[in-house]
Amino acid sequence: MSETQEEGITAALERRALRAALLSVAVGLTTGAGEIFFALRFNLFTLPPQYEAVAMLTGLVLLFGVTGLVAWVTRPPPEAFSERVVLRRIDRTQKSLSRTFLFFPLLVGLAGFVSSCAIFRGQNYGWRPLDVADGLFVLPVGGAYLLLLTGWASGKLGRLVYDEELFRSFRTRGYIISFWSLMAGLLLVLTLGLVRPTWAVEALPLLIAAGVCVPAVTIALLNRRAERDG
Amino acid sequence: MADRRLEVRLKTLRTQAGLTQAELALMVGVTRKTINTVENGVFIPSTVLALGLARALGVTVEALFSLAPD
Repeated sequence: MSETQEEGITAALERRALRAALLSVAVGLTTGAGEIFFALRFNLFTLPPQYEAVAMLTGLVLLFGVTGLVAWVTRPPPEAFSERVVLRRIDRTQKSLSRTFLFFPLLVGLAGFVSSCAIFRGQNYGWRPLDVADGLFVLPVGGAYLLLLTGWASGKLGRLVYDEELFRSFRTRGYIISFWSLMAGLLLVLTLGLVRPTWAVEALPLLIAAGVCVPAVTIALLNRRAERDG
Repeated sequence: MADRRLEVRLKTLRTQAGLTQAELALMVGVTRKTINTVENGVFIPSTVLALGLARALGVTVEALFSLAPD
């Protein structure tokens, strides 16, 4: 493959990524607006909580289904998966990964908060099925981000992005800081547990969220600093 | 990551070879940022990367990196 061909593929991939991002935003907005419309139309807030769970599940299935469809429609051509093209785009891919990592605290923190509130409700007012589901909410969200953070779900060429030397050193530093943050957090949870055990259980989802967020934010910040050094 | 004892001559040798950071990065299989941070002494590369850089520039590792005298 010639240099010009590689540049052409890279430019086409960037256009494709922009189209995918715009489509995803449109899908997200439509799904959100649809959920709000149906919730208001059928007075969902006055119905028993089972209906809320069904509505949430339907919305999620719809969101993932349509997002998957968008990803399929805007999937890159086979030439995009050659080692040279991946290497050409590695800088940009890592930058967009770092940007995603900066959103970690927002999303995982929100999931942690939802779980913590559900545990509080369950412990104080009795456990409903929805509280159990909400209480575990942080686990799939944190797990999904853990896959993204470690690159375990990525293929052979994806490993090029994750195993690039500087990025790997950032990840190692992120994990070290995360380890110490988790240790400090566990100490705090243990102290809370000694005062009132229920507080410790309520604090655990937040600690799990922090455990995933700290390395992600560290990587993103180190990556930004490395860009500034230039 | 940085070490004051390390002297890096990557930038000089790369410019002599007429390569940009991006071109060298593509030859070695790393990001331009990695080359940049190695040149600035912010990041110390592994032995494998040091050997890769030396091979790409057609020099020895000692020509690229050396320890500052005590």
